[in-house]
Amino acid sequence: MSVGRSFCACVSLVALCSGLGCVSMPTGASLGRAEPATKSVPRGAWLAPVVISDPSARGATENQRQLTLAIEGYVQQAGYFSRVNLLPGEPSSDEYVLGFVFDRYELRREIHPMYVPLALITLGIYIWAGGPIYRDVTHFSASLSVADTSGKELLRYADHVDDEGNVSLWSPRYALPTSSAERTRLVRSLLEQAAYGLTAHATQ
Amino acid sequence: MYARALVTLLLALVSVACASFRSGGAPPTSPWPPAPAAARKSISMILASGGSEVNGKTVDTPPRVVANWREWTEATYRDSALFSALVDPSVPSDLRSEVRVVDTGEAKIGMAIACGVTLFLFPAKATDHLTLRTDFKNAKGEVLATIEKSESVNTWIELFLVVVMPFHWPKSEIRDLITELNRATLAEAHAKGII
Repeated sequence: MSVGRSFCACVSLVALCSGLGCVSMPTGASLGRAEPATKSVPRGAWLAPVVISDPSARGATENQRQLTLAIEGYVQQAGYFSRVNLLPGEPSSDEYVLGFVFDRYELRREIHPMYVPLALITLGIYIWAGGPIYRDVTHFSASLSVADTSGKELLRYADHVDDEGNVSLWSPRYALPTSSAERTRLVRSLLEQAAYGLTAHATQ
Repeated sequence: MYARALVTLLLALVSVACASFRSGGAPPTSPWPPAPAAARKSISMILASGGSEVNGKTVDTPPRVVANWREWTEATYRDSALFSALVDPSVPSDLRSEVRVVDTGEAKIGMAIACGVTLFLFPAKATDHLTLRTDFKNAKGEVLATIEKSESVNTWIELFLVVVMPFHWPKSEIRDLITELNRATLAEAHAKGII
């Protein structure tokens, strides 16, 4: 659905308003392919529903559900824990409970400052030659808490990813904005810290 | 006045002149709904994008699109009458199904440019290959079964498709496809005795 309908939108945009329109889509919740964990914890983990507390995030309720399942899949594929499941459930006493909270969740699209003047001066050649039209700015900030099954917090980590990139008419991001790579980087960073932290915690 | 109305009408027509066609795939699930088990269990279902790609590049699946997939999946679960209740994922249940939809898309960029330049006289085409992977788990989180179903849908864009479009509206075709993949999944799980 996404490709077909987005493709319709893309062709319409190219034909009708490549120099005039402004494409803006809500931030998604998917993650990229999981790379193997550099440290694995030989215990199971349960993932609490992910919370997006950023009040400016669009579609936060829908994204929370999707991100919960996406992170579960990522943890499983990367192999950070011997197994991972979603709460509610029946964790055993030696398993961990993971809680992700995203306090900043933003993908913003701005008009590139050189776009309007250069497109006018060059009578549109700037656009077709692949000059930057938009600037995509991403801000993600999150914390990961690790607790035991009694609810006692063992570790907590926080991290953020801020990025920006130019978008031209020929960029894959032109009609299909994405922040999946930045989100994946943040989730992976937190999981890596947690895996090392839990390993050190277990040896104490 | 009339010129403006004509331009508006033309823009409206060409901006929606696209139609989708399912690639066929497996025959419709029959019988539907299946005969329910004597003791039905409650289930919670959670669905997310399992990743989207266009021509090999990762893209975000818009949350609105995933919300549609979830609504259609919930409707199929209810329609199946195989469960005593379909509960929210935050509520404990006998079974949990975790559904991931992987959308591998292919868009013909050359055709798209030609289509735009010729004001939709030359056709453009995009293909969505949708894979529905469902993990059925019990309350302890143990995986009972993983079932995968997939099918493709082709979307064409061309001015004269306006006459075909009402019968092959892209959203309707995808809804039918997601529904059918879910039916096939539930029928297989039912045949295996999981639900």
